[in-house]
Amino acid sequence: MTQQAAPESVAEPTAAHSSAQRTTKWLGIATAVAIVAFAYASFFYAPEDSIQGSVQRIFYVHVASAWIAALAFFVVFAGSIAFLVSRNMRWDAYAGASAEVGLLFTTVVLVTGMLWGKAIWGVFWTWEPRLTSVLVLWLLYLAYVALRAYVPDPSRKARFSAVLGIVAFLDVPIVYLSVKWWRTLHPEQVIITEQGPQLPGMMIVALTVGLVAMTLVYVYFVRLRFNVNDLEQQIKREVAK
Amino acid sequence: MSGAEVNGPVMLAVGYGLAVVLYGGYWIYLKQKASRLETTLRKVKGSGN
Repeated sequence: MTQQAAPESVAEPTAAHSSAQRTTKWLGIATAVAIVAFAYASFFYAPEDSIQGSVQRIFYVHVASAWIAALAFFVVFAGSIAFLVSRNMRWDAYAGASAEVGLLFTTVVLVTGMLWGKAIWGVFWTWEPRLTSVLVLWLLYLAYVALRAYVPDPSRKARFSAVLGIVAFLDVPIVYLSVKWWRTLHPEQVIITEQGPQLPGMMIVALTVGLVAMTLVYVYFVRLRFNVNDLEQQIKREVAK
Repeated sequence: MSGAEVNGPVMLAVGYGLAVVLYGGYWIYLKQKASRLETTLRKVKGSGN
C-alpha cells in the first residue's frame, strides 16, 4: 500500500494527508485492542450479579453506549452553535458526522435495553419515562440525519440542521434526569450518586474499560465519516471544474 | 425459576451480538463507501473533468 506508486492517487500525498491517514490507522488499531479488552472485562473480569445473573452484563455495553451517545449529541449541540455564530461549514460537518454516529450509539442503547427488559421485566418495551424519552431522542436525531440527507442546498441544510441540533439536545438532560424526576421502572443511576458509585469495584473497572473503548469507537467512526465527507467534496469540486 | 434465569444468557448473547452487528455494519458501510468514492474520484480526475 505505497502511495507514491499510484500516479493518479486520490489526494495529493501531502505530509498532512499522510499523517492524517496514519493517525486514523493507528486509532483503528487502538480501538480494536480496546474492544477486545472491553469484551474480556465484560464477560470474564466483572463478577456475575447475584440477583440478575448473566444478563446484567448487558449493562456494560448499554451504559457505555448511552454515555457516548450523550457526548456525541453534545458535540452536535456545540457544533451547531459554533456554525450559527461563525457560519463556518467545518462546524456543520462536525455536527453532521457526530449526529450520525450518535444515532448509531442510541440504537444500540435501545436494542440492548429492550433485551435486558425482556429478561428482567418480562417485556421488551413499556412506555415509562426513561424509555420513552430515549425513543424520542432517537427519533429527533433520525429526523436530523434525514434532514441532512434530503435538503440539497448546503447552506440551507447547515442552517436547518443547526437549529434542529440545538433543539434536539434539550431531550438529553430530560433523559438523564427522568429517573430522578419521575417514578420509573428503569433502574436509578448507580454511578453518579450523592453517595458515590453504588457498584462493586470490579464492575466499575469493567464499565470504565467500556467507556474508553466506546470513546475510541466514537472518535474513529467520526474520523471515517469525515473522510467520506472530504471525498464527496473533492468529487464535487472536480466535477465543477 | 425467574425470567432472568430462563432468558438471561440468550438475551445477553443476542444483545452483544446485535451490538457487534450494528457497530461492525456501520464500520463496513463507511469503509466501502470511502472505497467507492475513491474509485469515483480517480475516474473523475482521469477523465480530465
